[in-house]
Amino acid sequence: MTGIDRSNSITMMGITMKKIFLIHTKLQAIIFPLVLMSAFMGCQHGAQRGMESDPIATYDFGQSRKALTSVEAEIRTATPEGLQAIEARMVDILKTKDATYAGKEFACRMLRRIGTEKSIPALEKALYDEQLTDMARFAMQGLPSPKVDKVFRKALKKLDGDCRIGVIGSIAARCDQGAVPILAGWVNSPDKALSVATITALRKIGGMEAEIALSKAK
Amino acid sequence: MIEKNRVSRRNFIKGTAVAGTAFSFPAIIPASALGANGTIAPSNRIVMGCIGVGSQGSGNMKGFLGKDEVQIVGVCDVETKHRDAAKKIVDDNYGNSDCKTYLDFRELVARTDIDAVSIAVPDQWHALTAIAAARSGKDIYGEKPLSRSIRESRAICNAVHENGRVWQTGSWQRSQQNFLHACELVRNGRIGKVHTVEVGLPQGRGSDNPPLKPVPDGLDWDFWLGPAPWRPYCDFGGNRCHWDWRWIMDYSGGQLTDWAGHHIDIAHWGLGFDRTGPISVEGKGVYPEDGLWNAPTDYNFTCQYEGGVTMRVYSGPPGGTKWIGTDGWIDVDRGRIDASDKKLLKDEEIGEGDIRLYKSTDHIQNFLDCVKSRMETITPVETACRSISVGHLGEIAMLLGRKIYWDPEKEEIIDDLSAGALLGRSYRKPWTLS
Repeated sequence: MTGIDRSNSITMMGITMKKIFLIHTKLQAIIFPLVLMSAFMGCQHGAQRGMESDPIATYDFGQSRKALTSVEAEIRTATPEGLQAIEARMVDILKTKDATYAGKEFACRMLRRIGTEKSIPALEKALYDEQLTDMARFAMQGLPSPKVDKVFRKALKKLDGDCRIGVIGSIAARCDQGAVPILAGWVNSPDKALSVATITALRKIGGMEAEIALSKAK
Repeated sequence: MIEKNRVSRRNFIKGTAVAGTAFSFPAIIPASALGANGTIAPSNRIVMGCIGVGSQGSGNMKGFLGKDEVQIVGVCDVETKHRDAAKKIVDDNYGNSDCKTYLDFRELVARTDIDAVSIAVPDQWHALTAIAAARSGKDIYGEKPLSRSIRESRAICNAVHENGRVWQTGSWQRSQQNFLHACELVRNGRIGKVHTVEVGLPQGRGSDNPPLKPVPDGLDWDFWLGPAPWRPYCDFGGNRCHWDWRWIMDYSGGQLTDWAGHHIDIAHWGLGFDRTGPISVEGKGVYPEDGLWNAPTDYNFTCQYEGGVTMRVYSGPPGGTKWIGTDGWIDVDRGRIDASDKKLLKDEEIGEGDIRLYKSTDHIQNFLDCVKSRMETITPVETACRSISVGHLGEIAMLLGRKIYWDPEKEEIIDDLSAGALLGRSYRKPWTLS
């Protein structure tokens, strides 16, 4: 190879390297975000996959209850941090799409014992699931937070039928004065079950506003 | 005195005849219908219905059937074979086929001819049936425990008081003379100042995980569950879902709450604590590691009362109630009474100037007498509320694994909001607690 050939060869190599570098950089700009997105989705799916392998999430009636009783035993001896971890686990089970009804209803039972405001969003969502609505109330009815009252009041307007009557019962148990204006509108509802539930709830809640609403019952 | 609010049937019938309303008599009138031969005429009988006629309920029903002053006219149960069996017993007793059967207790309590009801249903149903009966103007013989939760207990008490009803709890030990004797000795200071009372209740046991199966014919499963969380059907023990629901916490609290209305009730009676409760509760329970039955099989919790009395409630022998005072102890259970000083049992008499406790020799008769007199029974609803409250508080303390503080006047748990959340239970739709 002559000196010119060597020089041309080096130059060609440089140009090629530069092209490769530019192509590589452009590809990186496209591929890297795709890799990141894929990794993120993998983590989410991995988390779901993790929950789905949680024995509570796959528990069903009639099966061994050992996984459930171990959670109950853990609650009895847990530190405050331990209780938070259990709560988080139960909330995750509630959020897991393919978890069994039996697993989710157990999660609601445990949240009744240890739930805090952190579990309210997941429980609120469950309130609108016709299968889970009763257990969502089971968990929330005693939870001492005004956020629960707001959740129940909102549900009054969005639910109907027996689901709504269930919420009325929980509101009555909490004696939520804030719900009286909504309930007052149903005192004379043509839906007898709704009317009776409303009147009963207003009697339980008490107070001047409830008394006024009741005085208008026909 | 509890106000009565029912029209005398004798006056009603008399008035109807005077008004000239057509009224046909049978050709031959049985002596019992006329009150002859020592019988009580129907117009003077207490008309009763029985809600829950399984093993306990049918036993109570037979007790009422044995009383001439009672006329049972209806029986209610969600299990067809229970209803049918109870109806046959009632009809055979009266020699007719007049007893009506009901699946829905609301239809029974709506009858205006019924004066009183006997209620013996699973614990998750105690509040709704009792409140419906009270609001319908019925006097009530209600099985213990009073309720499945403290909030339900208070709701029942309110309904009974507001409607002026007579209530008798099935805490029949108070009508047994050895228990009365023991409590009078304690109340009259025969063992000095009581500082400790030990209450021994039975141990529980676990179970396997029975397979799911179709709902058996004749059982209304949805109605049986009532306000309790839904679950698919399985046999709870040897007889469908009957009897063994006691060991499943959605329906009852195991031996602890099954027996609180007996021995804790007696403990309170001896101490004069029928209208109060502990100020703190702590203890431990042993729960089955697997199986359908999840109530504690062993339990041991301690209650502190104002004034320094300590009550320890535990599972396992010995059973019964034992008060320990500065000058000795007295121990009582079914069929026995014992004391540190045997002379207490032989020579000590409760006499003039001493505290005399309510005396009843027949628990069912006491209820019937009070229905007529409108006086308070030997185990009124408030007494039942206070005895089971100890059981419920013990449950909460053991479930959470921590000491709880209780205000017996306000009936609130102090400074522990999550424990307070367990004082009540939400109801499965469409049932609501009022």
